[in-house]
Amino acid sequence: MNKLWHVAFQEYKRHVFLKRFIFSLLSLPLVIGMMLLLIFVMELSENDPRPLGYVDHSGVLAQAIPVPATSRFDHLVDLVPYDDEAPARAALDSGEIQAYYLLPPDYLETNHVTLVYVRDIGSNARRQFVDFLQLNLLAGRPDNIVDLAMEGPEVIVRTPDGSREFSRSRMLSLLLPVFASMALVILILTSSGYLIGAVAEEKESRTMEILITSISPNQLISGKLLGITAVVITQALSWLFFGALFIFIGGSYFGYEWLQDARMDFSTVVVIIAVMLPTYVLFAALLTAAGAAVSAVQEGQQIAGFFSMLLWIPFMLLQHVMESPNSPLVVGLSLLPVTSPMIITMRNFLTIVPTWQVVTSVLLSSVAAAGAVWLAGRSLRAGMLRYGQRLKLGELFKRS
Amino acid sequence: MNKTLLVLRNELYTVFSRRTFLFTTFGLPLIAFLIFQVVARMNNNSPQVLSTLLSDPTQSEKQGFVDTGGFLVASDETGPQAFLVSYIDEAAALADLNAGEISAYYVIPEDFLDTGELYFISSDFNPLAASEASWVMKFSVLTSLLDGDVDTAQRINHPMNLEVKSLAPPEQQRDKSNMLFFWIPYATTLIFYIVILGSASLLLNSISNEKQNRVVEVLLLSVRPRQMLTGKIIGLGIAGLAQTILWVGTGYTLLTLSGRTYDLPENLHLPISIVAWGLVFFILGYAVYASLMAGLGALVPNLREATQSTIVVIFPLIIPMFFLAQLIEDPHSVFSISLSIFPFTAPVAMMTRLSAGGVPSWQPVLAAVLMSLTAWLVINAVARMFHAQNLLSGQSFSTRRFFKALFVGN
Repeated sequence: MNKLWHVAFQEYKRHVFLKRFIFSLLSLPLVIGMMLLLIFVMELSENDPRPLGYVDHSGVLAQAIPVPATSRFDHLVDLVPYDDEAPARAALDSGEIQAYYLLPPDYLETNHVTLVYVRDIGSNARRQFVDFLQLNLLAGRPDNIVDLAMEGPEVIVRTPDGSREFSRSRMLSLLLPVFASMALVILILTSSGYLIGAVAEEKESRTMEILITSISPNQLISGKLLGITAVVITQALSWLFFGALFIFIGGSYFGYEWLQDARMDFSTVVVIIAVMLPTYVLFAALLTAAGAAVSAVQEGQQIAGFFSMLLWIPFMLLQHVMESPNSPLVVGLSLLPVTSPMIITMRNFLTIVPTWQVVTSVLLSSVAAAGAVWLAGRSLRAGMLRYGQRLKLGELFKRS
Repeated sequence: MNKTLLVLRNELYTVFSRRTFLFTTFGLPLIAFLIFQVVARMNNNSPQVLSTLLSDPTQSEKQGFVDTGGFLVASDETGPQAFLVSYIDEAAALADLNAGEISAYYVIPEDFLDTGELYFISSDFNPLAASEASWVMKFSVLTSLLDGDVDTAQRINHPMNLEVKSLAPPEQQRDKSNMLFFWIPYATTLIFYIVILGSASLLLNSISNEKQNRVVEVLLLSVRPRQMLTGKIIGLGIAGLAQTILWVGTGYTLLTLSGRTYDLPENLHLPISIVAWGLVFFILGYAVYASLMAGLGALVPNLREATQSTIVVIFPLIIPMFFLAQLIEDPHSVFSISLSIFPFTAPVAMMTRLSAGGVPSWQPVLAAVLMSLTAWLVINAVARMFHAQNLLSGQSFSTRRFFKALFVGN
């Protein structure tokens, strides 16, 4: 048993105490941070800060009420009234304004409005003018009626027994399991390199021959799997920490409402762990078996690429899952061990997944995982001293 | 020169005789075509089979509502009674929901005007479907807030029938309502991205493999490093370009044989100049990135480290992907123009803008000149790196060592 832990610790140390690993820990938060920054830069570059003009011949905007800013990140522009189109056009040509809207005398009958620009206006200006028009059409009514008319009612979706509820402010709580499934896919992909190399590297460097004189194959493979799983858990915990930090900063400092009520029900957490754990073991065992069957790490990476494609199937079908979460195809994919965690977590956001489907999925995945672990053991025993030749599939199942 | 040609021929032979290359070039389009044909035939012969497999179980489309505070204003034209079933209390609505008479019901609480919240009760619990299905109730609520004034409610819901007048020059105007004006530049960008990176990766693999299996030690006895680099860059560039032409040709042939044609709008066409510029920017982009990948391959001890380190080299090429929508929607902004002229982002960004249309002719010319200069500088820098000291070294890759070798040399 000591040898197993020794192998596990060595494997953990070999991967974790490296600059490359620290970089991979920071990679996901860095990538997300960079994408948010890029979105912010894109929004800034898309938004034109110049004033927006309007010519109102209908009288709707005669006593114009300005649109109030609702957050510090609103990019409001000045709205400049013109009596006639000629001065507006002159201001547009000189670049004083980015564009102007023209409301004709019969606007209240036809709803017809003309937008004149040289370069298309930013989405902030478009939204602002729509709000401006709506606000002034509602002039004279009580404030609460105006707010409700402009924003619309908040529709809270609820099951008949009240056990599940969804509203815009709780969007994150429903999306968290979907993020968890994406994180699982990324963790499997990043650990695939370690898993493939677990045995293949020892074979490539010929240290396998020395190792098996001191340790049994089962102890070796179990120790390596344990060490690599610890590496994956370290990575998962660090991402969890950064995720929590992001939610805290976004909700408390930036005031994003959808980040302020992030919580998951205990039952949802149990379901996520129950469906994801056997799938992780399944892929870990299959990748280890593949690594033991080849003679070079590079060959193993080609096989890992094939497994990676299987993991992305649920995300390629995302639109269909969203449109028909209870279709026979989607239900079938919920039961298939390779795709079940991702599909079930996506469906959980969109519908109530029957308990029998969750239980069946967990059972099938567990059986598949047990089979894969058995296969990994056979692959290791058959292939650990074979060099220059791949193990054939038939040889894995042949009686020794 | 003979030895450069020798290396070039060898690379072409190695690539074209690889089974994975042949599968990727011919097999993938064939598989995609077969799947497409099977699904199309299934849909034609037995539409109900496919529809049953892909659709949710059918349920009633009727919905109900319970207005506890008497808030809703009744109206023959727009009141919810015309489209929804009214219930006195929630128990009655729930009974019909359980019986399948209705698919969902709304509950408008007494404090609705204070909280602005109403409830959508459904056994399916699909937030997305609820959002789509609740437009009738939302409009009824809006009308009731305005004391039954339907005209104002319609105007608040849809304030403008907008007519847009653009004063830009005609060649810069685009019909944004036509989705093909987005998808064609998008597809062009993706193809370009795949082709440049695919071809450059072939080069990285080739050099790393030869380093790892020590074949490079034998090669350097007969071939100078610069001859090896040139032969590999040109040979694998030809292989990458050939693969793209074969992909496009195979896909086009299969679709023509199946009798399917795509009717594009008359005013949507891809001028021949785009194909010509495509060739220019592919050659220049490939020259830059393939050289950088070759330099990377020269410095790493094995393929695994090489693959892990490619992000250092290809990152500038990925940047335009993040701004794809902006490049297509607003191709004449300062930001888009800058991206399409900066040499390391130009191949992808400029092709995207050219596909979107309206690019002044001096811009691609300037981008091409700057790229040519960059390619010449990079190739020279990598050629300095490409000598025995690095090719025979087993040192691990370090970013600092890579950029030092690139800019300072040995």
